Amino acid sequence: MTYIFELMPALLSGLVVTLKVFGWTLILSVPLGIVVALGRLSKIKAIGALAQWYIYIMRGTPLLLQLVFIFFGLPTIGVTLGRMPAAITAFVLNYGAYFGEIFRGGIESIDSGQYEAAEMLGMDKKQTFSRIILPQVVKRTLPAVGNEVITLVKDTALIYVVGISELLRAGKIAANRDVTLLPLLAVGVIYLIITALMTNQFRTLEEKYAYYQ
Amino acid sequence: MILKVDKIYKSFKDSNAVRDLSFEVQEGEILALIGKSGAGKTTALRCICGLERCDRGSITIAGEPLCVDDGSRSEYSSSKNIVGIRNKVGMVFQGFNLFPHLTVLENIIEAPTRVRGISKDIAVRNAMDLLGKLDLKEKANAYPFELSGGQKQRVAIARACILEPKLICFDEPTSALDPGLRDDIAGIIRSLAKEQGLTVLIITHDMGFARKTADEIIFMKDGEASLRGNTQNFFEKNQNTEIGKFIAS
Repeated sequence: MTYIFELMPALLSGLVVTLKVFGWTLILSVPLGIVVALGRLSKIKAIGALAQWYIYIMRGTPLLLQLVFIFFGLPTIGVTLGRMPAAITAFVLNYGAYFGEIFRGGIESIDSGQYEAAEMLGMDKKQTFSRIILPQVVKRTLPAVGNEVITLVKDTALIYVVGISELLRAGKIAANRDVTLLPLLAVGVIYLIITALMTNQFRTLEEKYAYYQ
Repeated sequence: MILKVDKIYKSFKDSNAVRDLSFEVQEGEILALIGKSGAGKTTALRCICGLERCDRGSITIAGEPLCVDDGSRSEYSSSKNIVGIRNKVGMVFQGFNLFPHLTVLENIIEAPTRVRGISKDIAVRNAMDLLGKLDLKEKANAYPFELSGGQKQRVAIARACILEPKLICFDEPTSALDPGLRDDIAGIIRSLAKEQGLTVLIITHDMGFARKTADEIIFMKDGEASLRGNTQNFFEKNQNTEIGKFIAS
């Protein structure tokens, strides 16, 4: 189908944008998630409360709304972000909250005996967390994290609202212009391919971590 | 004297777990704290190891005070001192608490290398040595989930012993094992004490095991030490008392 072939450049350049948002969001929101989880579990009440509110607001409002707020709303208080920075900020803050809850659950599911054994062996809090707790949390939260990653791929389509054109928008533009749903079918297939790759990656990771129970 | 426990009290919410508990353990001695569930044995052990903080009383380990009673409460040493004191105590937990994501060897060398800064080669050599003595050499690269209960326990022992503690504590060492393995662990504990010169404190409700392993026994009831004696005499003398009935049950 030469038509599909003609569509490709536009779709692929949309895909590049999609992957850019996807990549930056992942790189920044996972570490943020760890910070949020630790904050949520902090013994300092103020930090714990702050983390809880942050999680509540970011999970309790639509990502679409958050995108609008950050790009259109922040300038009213003097903070003006470019389209892409605004989009990535919103995504990172949003996904940081979800990852925060996932990691928090993972950390809490680790038996207290692990902490006590580490304590008796003389490990300090940092060592205990990085050498003993975190590796186990990674294994436990892999399925949930995989879920979020796959959701993220598709959520990237929301950045249209701040005027950035990505894969889905490219498809919509072609569909409107040529009065055919074919471009959207192609877009669907591309999303499926990316999702399949991600699913496979996570399965490989889960298998890698299956070296112990 | 490796361990001196002086009038310690520990309560949780509204119940007294440990009340006015005092005892001493000399170097190379094996002491067993026995008693019913809820008698306060585990709490006492956890206070000694520093996993809980006493409300009152003093604990001294190898001459250094972990906490000192100042008349109204237990005053604990500075964090830095506590670390040094706790380095002298090893614990073998009831559930072993091995690190599941590390091999047997990695479990054992984690603390020596990461905490004490010992070179990996030396740590591995010492670890393999210990594993050899515990008859576990061929399991060095296995993961905890692949081991039996008895094997896991021996790994837990090696992990504690490689740090050369002065006092090693065992929390219910036979509860997770088949009865047939009790003799093995009794033998290991006795050899740790008599051959390596370690001081051993055991918490157990397994009378037969206590009889087989310990030099001295303390019977705990309702948070207090109600009787202490040399193992031999202890079981012979108390046949008709409440303790005797508990032992016989």
